[in-house]
Amino acid sequence: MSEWSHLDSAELFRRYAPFVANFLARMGVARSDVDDLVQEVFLVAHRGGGYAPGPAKPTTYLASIAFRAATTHRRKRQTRSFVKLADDVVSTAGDDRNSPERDADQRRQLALLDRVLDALDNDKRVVFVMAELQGESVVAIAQVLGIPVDTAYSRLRAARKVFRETAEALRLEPNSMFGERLQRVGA
Amino acid sequence: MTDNHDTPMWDDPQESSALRQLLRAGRVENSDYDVERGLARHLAQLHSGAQLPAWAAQTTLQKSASWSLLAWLVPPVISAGVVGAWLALQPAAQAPASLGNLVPAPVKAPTTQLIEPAAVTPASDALGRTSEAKEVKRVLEDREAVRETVEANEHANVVTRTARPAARSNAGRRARATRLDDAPPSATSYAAVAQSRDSSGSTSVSGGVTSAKSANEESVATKAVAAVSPAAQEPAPSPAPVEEAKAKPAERRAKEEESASAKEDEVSGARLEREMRMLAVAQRVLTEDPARSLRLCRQGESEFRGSMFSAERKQVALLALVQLGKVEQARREGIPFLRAYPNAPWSARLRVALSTGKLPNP
Repeated sequence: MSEWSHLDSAELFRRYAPFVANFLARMGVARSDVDDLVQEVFLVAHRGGGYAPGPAKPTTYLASIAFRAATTHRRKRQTRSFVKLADDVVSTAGDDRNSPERDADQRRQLALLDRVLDALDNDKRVVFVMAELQGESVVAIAQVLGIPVDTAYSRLRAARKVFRETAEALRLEPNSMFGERLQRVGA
Repeated sequence: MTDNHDTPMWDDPQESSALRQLLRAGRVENSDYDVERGLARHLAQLHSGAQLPAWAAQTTLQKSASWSLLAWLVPPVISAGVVGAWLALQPAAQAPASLGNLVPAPVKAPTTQLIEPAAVTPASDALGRTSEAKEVKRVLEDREAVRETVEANEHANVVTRTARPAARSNAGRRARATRLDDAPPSATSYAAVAQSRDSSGSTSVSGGVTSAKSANEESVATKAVAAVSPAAQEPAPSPAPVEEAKAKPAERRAKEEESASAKEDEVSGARLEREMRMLAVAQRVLTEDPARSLRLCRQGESEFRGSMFSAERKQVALLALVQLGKVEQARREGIPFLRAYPNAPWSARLRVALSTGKLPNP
């Protein structure tokens, strides 16, 4: 019997709401919408019978629901300019009033990370975030997303390639308008 | 850098330190989410019996919709299968008569006349087939765009149309002349020539000499070959080309090759002009009608792939994507593109457009 076998809805929320909020932020959800989507994710989990112990960890299970929520959310907000999105995502990364210990460098790194992740499409992004940032195994990711394991590996490989190229391109353009924007936000 | 999936990038020493630092920043629990406040809201929602979000309810609806779609599709398929089986079981002798009653009149070849949107859309909407109506509209818009492009390049098309039949007729004449040159001098009958070049011909023609005995048989066999082989249905050439081919084949070939190369140059010039005009139109309508601009760029790329204007066309397409609000897609395609062309005349404008999500003034 695993440690998660007797999680009721409140306990599930208390333990994993920060994880879900963080995951949604990495999936490009704006700060103003994070709480609403967290509520939706746990509501769907509750109506679906809650988390049942199995091969997937609670984080993987919740991430699969959050992925669907984030995908719908991004589709709705596709018309937003990316500058506004960058503002939102940067503020999602931290608020000085609540977490004064976070320094400017950390915020800059997170803003840059989110911009690089924006270069990935949703399918690759979720695999990359779950594998590289959440530390999930590719097999578990494939099972939760309902895709073949080979497809998950293929997406991860492609996502890594795009991630490297985009990070390099952004690093090589420090004087672009985007780079200036990042420096101003992070300063 | 390796693609070993078991080693995460942030822990892979072969990755750059900047990249690993970036990923480590994402692995830290950064969320400042207020758990207690969120939990209170969550419990309140559960107690009030809040409805599922639209995206979750949509998934449920899609499942039920797939079943209703099956219910719509299965009966016609079964009916078609029953009718097909009944037709297959009919006696072979009666098949033509029965099929003659069932098969409708032959469908005429599609004409170039376009269906007007007003004639189609209301009926489709009335039936509730909005997706079909949108599809029809999209196809009509694409056709309209292609027609406008063709009209704008009338000159290029005229040259192309005149050049193609001429080249084709030259090639055909050259091929016939070659065959005639290779034929033995005694084979003056076109039927004999046709039989000798038709490998499927079963009549006996040896060395171009046809026996007198089989004169009638030859004519019958020629008719049979003409009925079976499409190649034999070519109109019989007049004796004049045969004599001409015998007289000066080398000179005529040289002239034909010269005229063919001249026509090819003309066609190449017309293609270049057409490509430039398409690109000019795409740039002109970039602000007012970015969808059309994007369509023209894609059509141009499919028609003139890898040409000297390919990069120029690509940047116009990326600007059109930005203007359409598809900034993420534009950035995904544009960043590697800008790395390949960092200092082109249009690179700065494209870079600004990708950064700001808006088209700068040219």
